[in-house]
Amino acid sequence: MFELSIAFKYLIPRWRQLSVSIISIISTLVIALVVWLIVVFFSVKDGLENSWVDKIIALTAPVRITPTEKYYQSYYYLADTVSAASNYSSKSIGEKLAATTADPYNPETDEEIPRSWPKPDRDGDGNLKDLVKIAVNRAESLSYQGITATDYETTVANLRLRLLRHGGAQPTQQFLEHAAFLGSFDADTTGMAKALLAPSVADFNNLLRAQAVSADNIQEETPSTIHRLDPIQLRERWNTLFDTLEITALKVAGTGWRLQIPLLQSKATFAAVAVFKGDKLARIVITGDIKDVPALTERLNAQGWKALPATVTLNDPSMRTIQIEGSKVTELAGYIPLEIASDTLLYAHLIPESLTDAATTSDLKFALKTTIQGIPLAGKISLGNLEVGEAHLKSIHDPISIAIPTSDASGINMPPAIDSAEPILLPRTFKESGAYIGDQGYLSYYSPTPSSVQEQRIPVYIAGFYDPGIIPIGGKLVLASRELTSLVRTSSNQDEAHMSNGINVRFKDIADAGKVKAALQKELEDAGIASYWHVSTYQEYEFTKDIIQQLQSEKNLFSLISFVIIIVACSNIISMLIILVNDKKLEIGILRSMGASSGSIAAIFGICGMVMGAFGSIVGIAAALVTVHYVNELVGLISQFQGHDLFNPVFYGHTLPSELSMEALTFVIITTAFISLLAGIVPAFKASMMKPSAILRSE
Amino acid sequence: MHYILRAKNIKKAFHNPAHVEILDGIDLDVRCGETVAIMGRSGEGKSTLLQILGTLETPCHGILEIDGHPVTFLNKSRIRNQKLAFIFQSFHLLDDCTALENALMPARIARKNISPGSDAHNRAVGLLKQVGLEDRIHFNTKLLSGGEKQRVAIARALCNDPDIILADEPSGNLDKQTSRHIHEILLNLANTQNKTLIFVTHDPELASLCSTRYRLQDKKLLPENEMMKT
Repeated sequence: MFELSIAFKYLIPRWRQLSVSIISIISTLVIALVVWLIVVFFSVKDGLENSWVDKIIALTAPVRITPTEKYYQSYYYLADTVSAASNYSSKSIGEKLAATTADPYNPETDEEIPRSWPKPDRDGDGNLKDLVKIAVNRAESLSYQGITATDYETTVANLRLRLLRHGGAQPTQQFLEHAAFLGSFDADTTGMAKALLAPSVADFNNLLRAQAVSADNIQEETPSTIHRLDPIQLRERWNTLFDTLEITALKVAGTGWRLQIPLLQSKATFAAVAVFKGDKLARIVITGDIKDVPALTERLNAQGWKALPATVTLNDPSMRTIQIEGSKVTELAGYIPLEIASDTLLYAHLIPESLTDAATTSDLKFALKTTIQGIPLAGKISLGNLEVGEAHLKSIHDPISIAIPTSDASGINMPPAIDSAEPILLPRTFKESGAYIGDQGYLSYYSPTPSSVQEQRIPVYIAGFYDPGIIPIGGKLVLASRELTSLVRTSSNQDEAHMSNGINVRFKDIADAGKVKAALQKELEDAGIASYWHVSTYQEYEFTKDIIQQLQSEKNLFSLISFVIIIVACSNIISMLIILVNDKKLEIGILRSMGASSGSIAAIFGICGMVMGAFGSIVGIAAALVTVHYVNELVGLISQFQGHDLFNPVFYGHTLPSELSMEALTFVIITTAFISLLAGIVPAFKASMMKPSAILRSE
Repeated sequence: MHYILRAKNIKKAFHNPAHVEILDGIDLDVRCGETVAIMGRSGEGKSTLLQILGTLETPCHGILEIDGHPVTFLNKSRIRNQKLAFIFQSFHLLDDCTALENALMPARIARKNISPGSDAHNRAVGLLKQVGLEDRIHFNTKLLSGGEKQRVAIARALCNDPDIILADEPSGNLDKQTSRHIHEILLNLANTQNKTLIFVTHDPELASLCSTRYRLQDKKLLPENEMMKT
């Protein structure tokens, strides 16, 4: 096509047309920059939003069915309160689902039904419609991939945790008290597996010590004593713990660790810090790395000790020498403790045989095989006051044999109750306030009785932490098993129990939420029970509505802003093309004289505009692809320069999403193409309206 | 008698800003294969007349017929591409193109296949050889001399095998010897390929080589022999 060939000829930068070339290069770069910015921004933002939405859905469901007021006033719901078969108490949705009969009322033995109650809603055969079962069945019958319907309950309770810490000589205890929402959750969802935080080394450490403490007095407000488990029980627990937990390194705690000379394989020389008490050498601290000696010296001096760098040579138990900086080599006289500095990692493995008669943490023996300053250390050591330095869960394990939930592709496996303490999952805010996996405590709630209100306490332990995302109540939502939630909900105030349970409908693709809702409503209408149920998608939940609407309006706002930015960037094309048209006036005249139509001339300059727009977007998108791929490295670099995190991990998580947003890509490509086409129209029109006779005559 | 080009009572005036009448009732009949010279003083409107004959300019009044059809009812771009060709005083070749690319441009505009080996390509190469530019085919036109440029322009004019070639002072920018060479080529081609040539020129030597001569004087076109009488 001749228009294309001419357009490309014009687009190739040439020295003779320096101004046009520079302007066209700059306009293309500006477009590329804008495209890059928009694609990166939207990709990261979309990724974050998706992960937030994922977390919201992990804790709830993409679609929920909740009972309406009419449900609570229906004969179906009220019948339980007058039926002996139901123990005269109303049932939650979960209980209704488990009940064997829809109508527990026995007209012969039960008291008379009040006249004010609505008529029972019966089907064609005269049976009472089982509102819950029909709703669940209808939901599960929908043809969406992986659709399930399960009931959920939420309630409120007070959480009090005992944080037992073993840092010093004596364990210390602190208490963390929180009013919390208590929610049931479905463990077998992929979203939950994503939201669950991986346990840290500190968690493993705490877990190891917490295993030794019994939860039998945990329900006391301030347990005055620490009940240790009897050795048999403890060994049993440790056995299951070490079935799954593999410790690969120990770490020297803040108090330091005494070096046992027999661990040395041969003669050794260490760089160390000599610490004096007055003029007398009090102890020698060996650092994990030679490089750390000056820093440690400085730190000890700052703490009020007199410390000097030194070199210790340990030949055999009888021959030990020390050379303190600035003085001669002297023999170590008397008993001077040799310590390894805190935070030094010691690579070691548990000796399984030591579990057979272990009664305290000191009885746990490890096979040490490590190096300090390049000098090998090996032998048998006891855990003593060492901490866990590196540990991981073994890849093949029995999911129920440890106090930590394990996650896989199909969801998470919750650990069992320990000492009647129930496992709970806490939002990450608790982790930030100092709680660790394995900490115990209780949930309390008030249960009304005919004469008084009683406080009930249920022992619990922290099984794990999860990331609640940006749900406003997320920082307070404690996740527990459905049974536990149901117990608290039904025993606390019945009036407030309304509206706090329902049915979670889950399916694979959350983009189908709207369609599932519509299909579900239709199903419920077909079954004649639509008025008892309210179906809502995750965008409509009371606690997510605001945030989702906010995200949506932000998106619209940013789209508008990007649109304006793209217009500004593409408007450069107009000026560049007008200069080009003036520059190529004579050629336009010549081409017209050779029979090029005015449409062809317009097309040439239109193509020039489009190609610049397209080229700019391609460069921008390519740059964006690279940026998005390395976004975390980039953010890390900027954070280093800035001195603090560029994005607060509380809101954004520890890694930013690094997936290109297809939506942003489509938006940018369409908008840029459209606007650069528009920008080309004016100059193209100008060029096509030029009279060849006038151009050629003036030459 | 078949006329390849007929102009009847052509009038042209410009409003710039005063009303200036340039041409007032021009009649011209050109037969196929004829060579026509239009002479006249500068500023008499010779170039404007040529542009009107070449459909680049629209007359204010009058009818132009090409090959028996009034051009007002035809696609002018198509006529310029297929039936007409221009040769300009200052050559008007396209920058940053080789001689061959220039010579092929009308074929390209006509959306013919111009890949090497195609008819159009072979024709253009043949034409460049005919005008004596065998060794300049792939030269950038910037590097060519004036005479060579005009020869490229002649090859370009003949690219789509037009009926009429309109030349506006084709040797105006060239020295005498080169001019002669260009005239020779043009008239030779017209003769061998049966083209109609219309020259606008000051050059009496060129005019003397043409079969018909006109003089544009006082907005009218007069045949040279008539003019001689008066």
